[in-house]
Amino acid sequence: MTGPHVTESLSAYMDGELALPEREAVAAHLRGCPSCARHLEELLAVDAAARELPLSVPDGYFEAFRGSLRGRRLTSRGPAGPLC
Amino acid sequence: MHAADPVEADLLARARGGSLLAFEEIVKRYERRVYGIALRIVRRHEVADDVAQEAFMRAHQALSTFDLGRPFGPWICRIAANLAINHVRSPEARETPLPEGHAETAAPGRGALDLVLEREAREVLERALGDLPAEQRAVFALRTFEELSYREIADALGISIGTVMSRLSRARERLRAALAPYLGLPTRRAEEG
Repeated sequence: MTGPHVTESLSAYMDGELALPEREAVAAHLRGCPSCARHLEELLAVDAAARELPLSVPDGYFEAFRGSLRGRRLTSRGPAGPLC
Repeated sequence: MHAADPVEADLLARARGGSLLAFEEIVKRYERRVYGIALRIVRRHEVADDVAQEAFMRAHQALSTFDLGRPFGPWICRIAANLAINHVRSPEARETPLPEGHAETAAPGRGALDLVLEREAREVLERALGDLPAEQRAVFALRTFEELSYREIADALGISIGTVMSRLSRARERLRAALAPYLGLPTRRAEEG
């Protein structure tokens, strides 16, 4: 193992959001630390599992969405004014 | 930031000129994405529907201030995410988990135990997502489902990149802890067998 565990950096590491020196340090640590490497695999698995969760949407919802929006207020409030 | 799609920019320009049909085309492009963000943060269909509609209403009203050279997606997602977070933070918000019993199709060749464990793991993950603080859930949703960069998330939610980083890390660790009994099961079973 090379240095202390890097679990706190793994989330940003997997997103490619670490600065180069830190990214290289984490990568070097991972090569020699099965515990942190497994931790990273588990975080990646969590993300993958979350992406596979289905959205529970009532049948026909999107077909009716624009109609609801139109009926709501879209026709009575034109494009104007700042976003609040 | 990516440049705007020319077709989309044209639709937005026409919508800004008063064409409701053009704006409805924009809605059609983004309604699933916007609803998805809202639902993943507020966890209830009725509220997500309200958030999604309000997000498009606000975008429509604010079209005159929108830079047509920029992509519409991050903007509408930011509006929806903020509305959703505001709802979850509101005193009247009553968060309840999504209804259970999502339709699932058995993958060919999978054992019954795998399928039971997979369904159980999904339910655990759904609950764990629902138990996250709204701020962590919003950051997780924008990163994992929308694949926004930390800078884009920070801009969308009005927080620092450091806060994005820490909220996302905490959210993932909580989800990992919840899913721990299910992570790596096939490997462990193989090692045990």
